[in-house]
Amino acid sequence: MLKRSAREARRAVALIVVLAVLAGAAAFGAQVHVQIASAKLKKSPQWFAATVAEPALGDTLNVLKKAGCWYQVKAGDTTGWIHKSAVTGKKTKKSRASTVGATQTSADDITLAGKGFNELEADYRKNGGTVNFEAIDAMEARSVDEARLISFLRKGALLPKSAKKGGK
Amino acid sequence: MIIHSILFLSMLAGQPSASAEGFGDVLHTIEDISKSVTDNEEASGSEDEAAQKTADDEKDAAVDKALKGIGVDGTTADDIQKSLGFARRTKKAVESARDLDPADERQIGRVAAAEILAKYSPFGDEGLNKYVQTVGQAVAMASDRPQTFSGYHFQVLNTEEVNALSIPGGFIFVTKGILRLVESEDELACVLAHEVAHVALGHGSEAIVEARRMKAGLGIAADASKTYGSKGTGKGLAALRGDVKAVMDILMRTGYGHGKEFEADAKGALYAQRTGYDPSALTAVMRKLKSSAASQGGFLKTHPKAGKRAQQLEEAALEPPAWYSESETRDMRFESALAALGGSGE
Repeated sequence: MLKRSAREARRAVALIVVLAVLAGAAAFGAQVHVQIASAKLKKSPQWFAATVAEPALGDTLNVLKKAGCWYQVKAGDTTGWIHKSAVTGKKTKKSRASTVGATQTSADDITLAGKGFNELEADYRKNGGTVNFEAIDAMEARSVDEARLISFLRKGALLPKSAKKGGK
Repeated sequence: MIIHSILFLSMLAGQPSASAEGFGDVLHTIEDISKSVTDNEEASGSEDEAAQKTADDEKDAAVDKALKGIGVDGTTADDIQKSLGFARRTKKAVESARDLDPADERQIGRVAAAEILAKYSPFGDEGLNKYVQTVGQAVAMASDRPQTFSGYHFQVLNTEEVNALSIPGGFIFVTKGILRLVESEDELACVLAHEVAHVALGHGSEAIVEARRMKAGLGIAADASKTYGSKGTGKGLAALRGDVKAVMDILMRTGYGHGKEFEADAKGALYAQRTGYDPSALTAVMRKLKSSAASQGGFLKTHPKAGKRAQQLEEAALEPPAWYSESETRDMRFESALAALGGSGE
């Protein structure tokens, strides 16, 4: 019994060593995948910086470096900064299915139908009475574009002086 | 058995986020090394069992190759291979219950938000809604999660109840009652920032995941992958309804819990500060809530006492940003937008 336990313990230690070695090897050459419908690549790692590109859902980006919550990435010929919350290490599959609801994402090739969400909403609509999807559609259609947002902040004396006009 | 236990416990110790940490990542690493293996966790829903088996066989071969490459061979390698197989199956089943990506959040949140809008009618003044949307989007951009799957969306509810609430995916509501309480754009920004913080910190999503785990049961993980499988029929549809119910329970019954409310206060003040507002405006709102009889019922009955929240914020002593200044434009646009509320609401 003791011999067996010792053997198993040795194997456990060997496994931990193997895993630790392999974990270290994964630190380089990372790729990330866009996991939101309207991601923005910024000129610098600041939320009010100018947008230089808008990678699509599921696009693969090569990480060049990291600064705080931002990744500097290369998307095609464009290099920019993307917030870490907009990407994932997992591949994001695309499909021909369209999402539900009246938003700018409805034309995107995403996989929501395959996850059963269209059926979920259809089920709620069929049973009716307890949901107001028309109001949600109107709510989701309401959005302020980035240029207006920056202008709003500037007029309200909310941006630092160093934030040049145009969000550059 | 020891190896099985180590892997199993290590994976369960990982955070309930989309990117697993600790040994969950290590497991990915082993699989990444092979390069010939695709991440079939996302693809599994659309593949049949034969394709799944082929993918697993490829993974096994890749792990074998990786182990041999670093000099691990024979019985130990076999044991490691078996353990990895066990770990992989368990990890997949557990993650299928806890995996909630931004698209999931948006769709579950959308249905929950539609329920809220059936209980409380939307306030129709588009000028006011647009103003709240603009201030809310600004603080959201400065948050730890500037974008959700389809963005943050804000709506005024046509009720004199004093409250604000947030739903996974970035659906945020403020009542006419709380808009009557705030007296400046800075105070409004702080209220919205608190709600944005709940979304950014994933408080609602955590509750969904927790409810899923409770149902799936870690010990019967194999069933979890069926319950939360990619097919939207039968069990899957019931599971999604369960997700919506988990959100509604928080909003209408249990609340996020005091710890998460304090956390959202702290982060909300920080987001407001990053946007350029005075974070102490949140303390001012708490003081008003404390003396507001209207806030004692409704959603806020599940929140910590406003006085205690104000005290915690004061102790944090967050200062306005260095460039902060009063602004007549800011005051005027606030007054103009909130004029749409009309009378006193008494």
